[in-house]
Amino acid sequence: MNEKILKSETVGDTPNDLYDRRDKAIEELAGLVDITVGRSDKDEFMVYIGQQILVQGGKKSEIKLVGDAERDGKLDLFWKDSGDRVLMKGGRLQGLLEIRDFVIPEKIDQVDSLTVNMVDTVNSIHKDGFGMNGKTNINFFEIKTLSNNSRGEFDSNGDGVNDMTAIFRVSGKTSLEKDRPIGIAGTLTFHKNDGNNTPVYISYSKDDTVGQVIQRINNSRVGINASLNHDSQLTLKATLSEDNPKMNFVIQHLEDSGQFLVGLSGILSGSGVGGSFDYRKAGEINKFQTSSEDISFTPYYNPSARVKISDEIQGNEMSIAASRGKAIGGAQDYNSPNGHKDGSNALLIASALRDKPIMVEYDTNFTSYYAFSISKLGTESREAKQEMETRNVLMTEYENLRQSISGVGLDEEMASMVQFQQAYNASAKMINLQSELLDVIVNRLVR
Amino acid sequence: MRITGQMTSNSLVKTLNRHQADLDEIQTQVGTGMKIRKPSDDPGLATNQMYFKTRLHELEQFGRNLNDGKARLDQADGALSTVTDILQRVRVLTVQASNGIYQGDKGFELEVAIGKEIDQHLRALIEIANSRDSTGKFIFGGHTIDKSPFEAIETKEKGLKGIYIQEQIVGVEYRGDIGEQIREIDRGEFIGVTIPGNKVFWGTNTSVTAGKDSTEYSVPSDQRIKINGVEISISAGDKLDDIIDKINSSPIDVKASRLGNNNISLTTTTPHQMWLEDIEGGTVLKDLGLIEPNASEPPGNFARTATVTGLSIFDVLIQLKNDLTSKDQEKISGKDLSDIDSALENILRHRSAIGAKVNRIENHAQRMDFDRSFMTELLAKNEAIDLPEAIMNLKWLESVHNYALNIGSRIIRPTLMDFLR
Repeated sequence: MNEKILKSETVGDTPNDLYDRRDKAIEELAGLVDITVGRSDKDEFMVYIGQQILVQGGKKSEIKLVGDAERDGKLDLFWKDSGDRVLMKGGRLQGLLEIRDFVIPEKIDQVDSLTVNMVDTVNSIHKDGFGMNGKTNINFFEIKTLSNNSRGEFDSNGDGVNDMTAIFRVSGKTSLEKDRPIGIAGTLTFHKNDGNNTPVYISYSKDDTVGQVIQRINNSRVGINASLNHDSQLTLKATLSEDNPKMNFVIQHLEDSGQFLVGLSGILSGSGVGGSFDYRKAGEINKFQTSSEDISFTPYYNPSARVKISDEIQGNEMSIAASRGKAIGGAQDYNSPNGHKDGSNALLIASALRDKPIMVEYDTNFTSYYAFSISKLGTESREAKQEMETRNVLMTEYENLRQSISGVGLDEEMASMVQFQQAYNASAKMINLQSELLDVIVNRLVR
Repeated sequence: MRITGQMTSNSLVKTLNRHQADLDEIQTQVGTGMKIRKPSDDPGLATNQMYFKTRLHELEQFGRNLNDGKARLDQADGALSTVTDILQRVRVLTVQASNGIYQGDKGFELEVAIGKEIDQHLRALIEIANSRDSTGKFIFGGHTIDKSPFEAIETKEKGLKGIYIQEQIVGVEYRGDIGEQIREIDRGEFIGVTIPGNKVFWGTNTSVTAGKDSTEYSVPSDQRIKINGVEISISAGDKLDDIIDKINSSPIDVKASRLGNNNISLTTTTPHQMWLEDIEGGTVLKDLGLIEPNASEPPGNFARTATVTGLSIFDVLIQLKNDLTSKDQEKISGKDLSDIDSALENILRHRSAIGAKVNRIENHAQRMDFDRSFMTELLAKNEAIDLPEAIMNLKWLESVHNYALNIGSRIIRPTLMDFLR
């Protein structure tokens, strides 16, 4: 259109129809992307997206769609010539991209976290209980894990070699008392789950109680939450990743310069860097002194889609571990099944899901995490609605202003037209009169 | 500002659309009766709504638990009422038998008759002790549900004076455990709804006296023992007196004491069968000579060198029957009678405990009902619409919509064109 307009302008025409069509196209474009129009040069009509040129006179820059392999092939917009990403700040496209890349994944993550924490909590208590048929150590829920071997290892870059250990939860071997001073000092090192593995140091001293150290870990938001489980053992769980959903629920790094995680709670086998656990290596499961029963592996991507009741329970209700065993054999491990067909394990599961402080992300329990997610969703949705209504009102005002300048009032035009019509009639009348006058002079004057 | 035809029509369309949206919203509200359907309608209220609904569900479940608990307690009470009747009848027979006139040949027949009747009462009691509830589980077995709590041991012994009186019951063993079934009646509040058989069906206080001298005994390491399901910690280096102190200061119905030979003796303070256990690999009770070193679990694990006394209700009746056979009138009127009285007293004690629990449950249920109606009211105020208000709004919107349509149509139509001829 620019070319055609330029051509007809050079020969002196005013192609109003083309102007109108161009304006309509720009309006449509403005709805999709945040464009600015440059009319400073009469011969070159420019359209910019931010700082990048989309249309320059008769030249256009093409945009192509490129799929992102890291994010399951989601498409993004790139300039064909320079290969740079198209930077948009507003418009329908940007809105769609924001929803797709931020809002919806956040909600999916929240549901995933609820699922993973529920499954893990129920399973860990269920495994410690006994069914009517005496069976124990059975999972209630089955969830596909990221790793496919018994050491939690996973091949993250697809080169055929396992290069990371994906663990979601680890529980210590010893039962702890929440309010007893620990009597030891040291520094814990964690890495944040943010793609940079930013280290965070948390120190503890001998007058701190177990409860206080746990609080300190949770308040620091290092990608790990700490709690005491149903057997009062220290439990560390990974949280959602801050930048990459594929790294959700992976414990990044556990290191203790002292004995809190080692001798006191029975999680790591050794202190210092040598005893530390880091997910970026295979075989790291050896750094834990806990048995494999007390370690949960990271679930596969989008775990909410892959949860089901385990086959053992589906096939046989007598295996549902509603009762606790008797603590025989030291260490309060409740590993003897005789007696106690009493339903106390079921009560433990119920209270853990209801209100025990088992930590879901950085919220204390399920109820508060769920309430937080729902109210965030509600508030965001309401804000969006109100924004939209406000914008609509503003747009109406702008429309009206534009209309008042460029619009056509039917009555005005009709009145003008009547005026011109009358003027035309009057002129026609005048010419008629002139013609009659001349007629008299020419034809009537006889000698 | 110039007003063009486009502006007028745009403005009319926008207004009509807004009205439509509002009408739609109100219609849905009236149709569903709810103010909030999505969290975005009112995020604050939505969160409250979740909490209220959760609490309501909880209250309903607790109500069901309360009903179940009360039914069980009522059933136990009914059973114990029958037991009381039987024991009182036995008491009457005992008084009869202790009367000296039942001697001689005539006395023999009466003694046989009384003996037979007592035997029948014994069997009836065993049946009651093994009764089941509506779901088929044993009431007095504690947590055991797969075998009868009380099992009669019978021998084919000959009965009185050569007359064969079927298989004689010489003992009744308790095969259940000491668990108490609990029900949750509020968050974290539990109430027991059954009583295990080793407490209910015991007639006299029991005692276990070790046959070992424990003067020199010192506990080798920290460990725990379990008496009647309660765990007691024993520290390394504790001597006999320390152990006795620890047992006596624990919240159990058992008292420990040191007897003449420096041996330990445990006695119950209310009639029940004691359950002793060494747990977590400990050996204290075995070392003190109270339980057998290689024995399995209680209740059959008392040491063979220990002296065990105490009678269950069944033992009392069997003892009475034997004394009738041997015509030991002194015992019948002395020990047997007082044992029966002790058994009666124990049953009464348990019945009043049940009564107290039933009272507590009823009070709690009343409170729950009140809570439930209060919650329902709160929830309704929170999420339900005020129907008159909503209908008024609907009517008002309708009329506003009508006005807009009316006026809009008047303004849009006429132009100068219509009047130019």
